[in-house]
Amino acid sequence: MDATASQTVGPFFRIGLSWLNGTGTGSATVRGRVIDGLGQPVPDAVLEIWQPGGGFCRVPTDKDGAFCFATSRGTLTVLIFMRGLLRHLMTRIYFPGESDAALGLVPADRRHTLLAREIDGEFVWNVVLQGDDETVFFDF
Amino acid sequence: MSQPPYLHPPYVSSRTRAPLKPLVLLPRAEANLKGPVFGHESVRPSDSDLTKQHTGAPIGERIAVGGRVLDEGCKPVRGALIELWQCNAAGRYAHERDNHDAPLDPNFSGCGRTLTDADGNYTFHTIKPAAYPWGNHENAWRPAHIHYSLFGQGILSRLVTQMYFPGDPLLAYDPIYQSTDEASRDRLVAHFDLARTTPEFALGYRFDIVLRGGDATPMER
Repeated sequence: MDATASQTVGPFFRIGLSWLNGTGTGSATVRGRVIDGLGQPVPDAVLEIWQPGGGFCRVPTDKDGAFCFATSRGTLTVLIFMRGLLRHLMTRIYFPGESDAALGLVPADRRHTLLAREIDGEFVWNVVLQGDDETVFFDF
Repeated sequence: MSQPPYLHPPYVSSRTRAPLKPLVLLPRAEANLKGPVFGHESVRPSDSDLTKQHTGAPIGERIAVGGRVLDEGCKPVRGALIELWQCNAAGRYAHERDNHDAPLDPNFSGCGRTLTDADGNYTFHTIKPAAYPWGNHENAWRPAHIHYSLFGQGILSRLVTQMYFPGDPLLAYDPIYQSTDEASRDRLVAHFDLARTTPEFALGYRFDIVLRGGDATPMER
């Protein structure tokens, strides 16, 4: 039987989901923002960081569309939920020097959207929902 | 098409938030990832009763909502975490950004959690949520619904959805509900269930959920 249809998380998910919010653990700090098709920050998104081996961190965006979490190095899979998304998005974060089969499936001219850039000892990775630098999202 | 598209123009906020470039297809084996495991140290039995989280009882029609969580092979998913949230019986969420002119209920927070048992069964007790207006289009009202978030066996089984109530006239006008094909959206509507109805106490509804994963071969006939 087909899986039940997804529906948007809506604008009020904090009521049900914030109990599991975290800041992550590990030596690498990842910061970024979620930006919509108008170039505006998305203040009502929630990201789930899935690490290899079952590590998990849920982090909402703030009023500036910003998020921050700590993690150990290693390719991260990120699920993104927000009002306006009838299904969640799946993407990945690669730290400098990392690669895998999934990254090889991404057109070369879009791979940069998945790479965390090291700046002042932290890592910057943004989610761009639409436009020239639209983040690569995976169909799964 | 059993899942909604990302871009669904009648749902206005999808226009600026849906990805527009092609998605990159990830083979199942490459995409799959084990997820967090939740146990009864993080989810207490009392978390599934939204009517008993305050000193008084919430206003509204008390209901029991339950069903089974299955995988695509129709096998029960045990230990699945279900997170649930909803507005109150007046159509207002206990959320600082809900400015709908309807009363808050001091005895209702509208959130709950539970884990499925060994047969994939779950039950929540709550009150029936109400419709509320939203700004999507002229005279837009969301049909009454309960938000569900589920964790199954791995990342591919992750699901966020909404449960609706049978016979709601607003379903025909709701672009979120209407975003999938008819067979799929029909399954988002709970069934009134007399067997789950507790005499003198609460009406029962059944809402079964299928998560991705498992052996998707058709059941034997």
